[in-house]
Amino acid sequence: MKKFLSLLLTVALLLGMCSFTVAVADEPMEIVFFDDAANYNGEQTGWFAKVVLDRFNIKLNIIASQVIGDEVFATRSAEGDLGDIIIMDKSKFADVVEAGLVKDISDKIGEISNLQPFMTQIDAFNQQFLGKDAGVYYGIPDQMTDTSAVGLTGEMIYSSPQVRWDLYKEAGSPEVKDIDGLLDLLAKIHEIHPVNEDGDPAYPFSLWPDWDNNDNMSGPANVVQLTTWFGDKMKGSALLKPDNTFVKLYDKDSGYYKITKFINKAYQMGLVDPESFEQDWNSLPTKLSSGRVDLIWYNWQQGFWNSQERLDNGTAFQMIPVEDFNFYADADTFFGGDRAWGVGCNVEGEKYDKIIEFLNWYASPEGLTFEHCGIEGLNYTVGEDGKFIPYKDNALMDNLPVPDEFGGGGYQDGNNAINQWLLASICTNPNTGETYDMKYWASYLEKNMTEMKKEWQEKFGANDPVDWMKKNGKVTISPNCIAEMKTDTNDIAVLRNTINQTLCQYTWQMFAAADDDAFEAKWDEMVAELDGLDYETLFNFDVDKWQVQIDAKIAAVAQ
Amino acid sequence: MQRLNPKTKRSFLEFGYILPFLIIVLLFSYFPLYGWVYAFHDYKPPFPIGADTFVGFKWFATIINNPTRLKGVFRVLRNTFAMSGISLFFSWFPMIFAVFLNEIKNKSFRKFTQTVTTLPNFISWVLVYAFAFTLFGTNGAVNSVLKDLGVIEKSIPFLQSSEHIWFKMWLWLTWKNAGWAAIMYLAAISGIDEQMIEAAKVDGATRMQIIWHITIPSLLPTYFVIVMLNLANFLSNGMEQYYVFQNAFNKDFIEVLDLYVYNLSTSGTGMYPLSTAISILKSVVSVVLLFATNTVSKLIRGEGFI
Amino acid sequence: MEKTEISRRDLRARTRIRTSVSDRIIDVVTYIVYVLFAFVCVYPFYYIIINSISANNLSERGKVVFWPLEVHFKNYESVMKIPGLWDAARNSILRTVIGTVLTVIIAAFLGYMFTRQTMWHRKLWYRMVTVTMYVNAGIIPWFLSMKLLGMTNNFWGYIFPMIIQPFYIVLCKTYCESVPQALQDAAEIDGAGTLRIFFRIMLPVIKPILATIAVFAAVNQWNAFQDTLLLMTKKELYTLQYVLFQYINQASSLKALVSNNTSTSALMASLAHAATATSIRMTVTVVVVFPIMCVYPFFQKFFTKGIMIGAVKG
Repeated sequence: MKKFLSLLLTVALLLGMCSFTVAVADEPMEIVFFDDAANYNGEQTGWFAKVVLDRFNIKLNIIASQVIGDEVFATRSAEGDLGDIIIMDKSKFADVVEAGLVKDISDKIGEISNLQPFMTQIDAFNQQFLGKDAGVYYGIPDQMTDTSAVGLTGEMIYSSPQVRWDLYKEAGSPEVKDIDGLLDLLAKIHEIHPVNEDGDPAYPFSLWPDWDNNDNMSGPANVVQLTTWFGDKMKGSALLKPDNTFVKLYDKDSGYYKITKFINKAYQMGLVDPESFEQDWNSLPTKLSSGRVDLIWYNWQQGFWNSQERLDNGTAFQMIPVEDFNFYADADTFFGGDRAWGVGCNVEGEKYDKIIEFLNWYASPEGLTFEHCGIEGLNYTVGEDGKFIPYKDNALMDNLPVPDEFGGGGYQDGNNAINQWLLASICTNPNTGETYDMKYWASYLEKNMTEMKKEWQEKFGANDPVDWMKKNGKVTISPNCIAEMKTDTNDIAVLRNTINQTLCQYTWQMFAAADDDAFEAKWDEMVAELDGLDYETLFNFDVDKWQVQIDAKIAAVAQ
Repeated sequence: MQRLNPKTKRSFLEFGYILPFLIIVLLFSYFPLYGWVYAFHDYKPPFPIGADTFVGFKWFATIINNPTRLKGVFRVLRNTFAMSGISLFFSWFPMIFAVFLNEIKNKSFRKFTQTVTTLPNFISWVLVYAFAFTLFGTNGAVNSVLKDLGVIEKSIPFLQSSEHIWFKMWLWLTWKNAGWAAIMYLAAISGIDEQMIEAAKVDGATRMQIIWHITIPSLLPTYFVIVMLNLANFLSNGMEQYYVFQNAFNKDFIEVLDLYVYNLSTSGTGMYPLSTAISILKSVVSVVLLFATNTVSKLIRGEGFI
Repeated sequence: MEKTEISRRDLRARTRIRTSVSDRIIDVVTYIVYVLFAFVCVYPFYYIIINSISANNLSERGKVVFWPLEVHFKNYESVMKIPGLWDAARNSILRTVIGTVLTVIIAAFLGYMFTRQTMWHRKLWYRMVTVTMYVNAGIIPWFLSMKLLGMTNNFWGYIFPMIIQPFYIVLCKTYCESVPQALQDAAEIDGAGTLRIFFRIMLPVIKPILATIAVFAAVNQWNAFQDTLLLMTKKELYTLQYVLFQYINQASSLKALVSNNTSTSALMASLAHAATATSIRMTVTVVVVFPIMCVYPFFQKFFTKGIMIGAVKG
């Protein structure tokens, strides 16, 4: 026995020794991405890897904190090396610049020819670092557009009420006046549609708690994404009203109270999925795809149900205008979205040159076409007029095989794992004259003019939801701008976490309040508890922090 | 002039044998403790700590300086004590499990049962909750069956309520761990001198008498050591189990200290110094408890365990 | 306690176990209880297996309860196709074998050494080692220390931090203390040194606890992934658990995409139609546990067999 064990150990040790001598010859250069936006961790594989390998002889290694956890940020910054390219939240980016972990690329920024038309935005972003005249360039905002900072491109805003068009018609196609009207509509829909095709129970509302307190908003996601229907937007723990003033989130005249009450009323009417309190997001995709949820609000949730077939039959989800609502929407990300790109402080020499080349390509029409449109001959084809025509637009959804000359493998498996773009998809492709985003190609629009869409247009007198909102003045567009946001100090972070936890716990309990008196009692209890935990300090901090952004927005409109 | 008699030589030699390992312990377990210094600074990644970030005992004070939060901390400690208390009270379970497992006459069934009862140990808590959700959820199997049989009209909210939550958590914990922990006791049982047992049988002892007079006393040293080591870990219940089961309705009773710390630090690395401070406090309490239990053990049993 | 010499024949004659009523009751009750317990332990695992081979959407709806429905093996295919999986598996096997062997030997050795009353300041060192179970400085200092010690991107980073486990040392020490002192004394009289006593006398006798520790240590090594996460950036050093951990988290990070407002809805839907997070978790659990269950019976016989410590003539 002992002999066997020692033999095993020796063999294992030998195996161990030889496995790790890797022979290297003409290895592609590795570029490490510290990418807070990625949801894939590891080396880029598949067709996108081939695309960058052929052009630059590089391979991409993505460190995704979303996948492996936030500790990697602390450990790598303690080490002094975050990576070669850094992509993160703008305010966190500012901290990282201050800590000296980002390289000043002012010497080579001029070489990135494809970003020259966007220098206004890039300048605006970098002003916060050492002032206007110093001429340093640390970061490039992500997803800049060539449209405008006050405009709104697109058919749907981020959050609006959507129900199935056929159920809406069956419920009598009512004109919904206000939130109570919406509730009545949903009650009728629930009566018509209590179960889905498989016989499983369906509800207008199915909620989930694991997205709470995200996106810089305190409170359950199921509430704070809906306060925008009243024009109220949660900024941290403070509520921004359409007139650009801040109120405390427990203000009874405002969105947070109204939406919480809305959900509770729905609960009392039996319109809320009882599993809402026990499940998490993992249960939702199946429920959404199998028609067990009647009301959705994110614009991307349509992707779970609205297939081409359903759009043709008229059983797809569509936004239902509500007269009294005043929607809040963010304008096009002219100055960029929430994140910024930077080059790591340890990059130099050949690697630095390569990275600059790569960034230039990434923002070029060729690069953007790969990022937003896919592979020619697979996702799209080019028509005689030079414009793109969608070909196999389910390539991503169904992980279609990619031709070997492009790298083989599945389309989804080999897709760009960086998951961020320097320029947004609504920018115009100079080669086709249309945007990179397929949804706006003439060929696509032609393909998708369905019966259902025509009916909707007739009934509501507008081309699409955003058009309706603009025509009827039901949307307040919040201009895009650059503003320096400070990150939480540790004290504020503790306070914020405590407040967030308490807020969510009470709000969820209020969803399930048995009657209005119980609801009010819980609400008052919550207010007392929040005040006891010193909500006042957090509120003031958030107002100061976001006021900077509001002032910049007011200035942008004034121009 | 030093007299190195053989006895002293031997004592130093024996120390010499373990010295390399002591060095490893120093390097890998004690050296990282310099990180406790983070609890005394306002550390916020990516900024390194230095003289200007020193804040002394501020983070320790944060735990107690807000009355509402302090109430929360007491509530959390109550939960922790309850859970650890119940675990302690039933700590004999794996031992008795092993004892009676050993009594199963059929060898194959005994081996099968022993192997199979270790399976839950490998199922992660996240999956355990997914399973619990399917079984005990509002639309789950148990409620459906009960409704079909007409026993109840409305689903019993097993997962949502805070009733008997401590006991329920203990049940899940035992289900997951008992079989695995029993392995230690089975090993101890298999080391019991067979001749002693044979002799007792010859003298006419029943099985219960053998268990009571031979098996259990042989297991007691192991049992006491394990109990006392666990006692020092009174404040640590682990986080994962309570995290997957927590929701707005049972949070007041399910949130133990480890979960409380985790919930506090959900904004990424924001709360590193505070969680380090709490970790220091827990370590201090644990070491104190360890030596206190040792003293008590010396008083009661006549010998310490460390 | 005096042991009387009993002849084999006498032993057999007198060893007629009197099966009293109480014995029968114990048998029956024991069987019932353990059958129930075994069922409660097997069923969830069975549930996981049948769900991992059933259609994912049926599984998600909770319809797969007693037997698999619409059997498919796509979940397993996807896992097997993960890039780098087999290299990672090799790394896991290596670290498990090396780590376990070292952990067991060290635990046994230190456990025995700490029973030697003659050691210089024995109590002090013992306490020094045991207290480390309760002190922990956090991830960042641990990482920086490991970096300083050269454990980053180094296979030995999987071994050194994990081979000295106070809990196992305590178990061994307790076990060693139950070995009759006479055994050791006899060897010492014969002139054996400390090391020889350890290797020749103690090790063979404490086999059951060694097997126990081997099982615990092997499972710990097999399941470890946080050290890979913090210490290793070269994919040649990834372990199986880490690769699978990434794989699971990638499937569940739909939320990450949502934070990015302008992602295309097609991407969302694609993640929805793919394997759900729960079915992936279940598949991964089966993949990880299967090798353990294959190896386990080999160790099991060491702690379920009776071992006779040779008779000591009083």
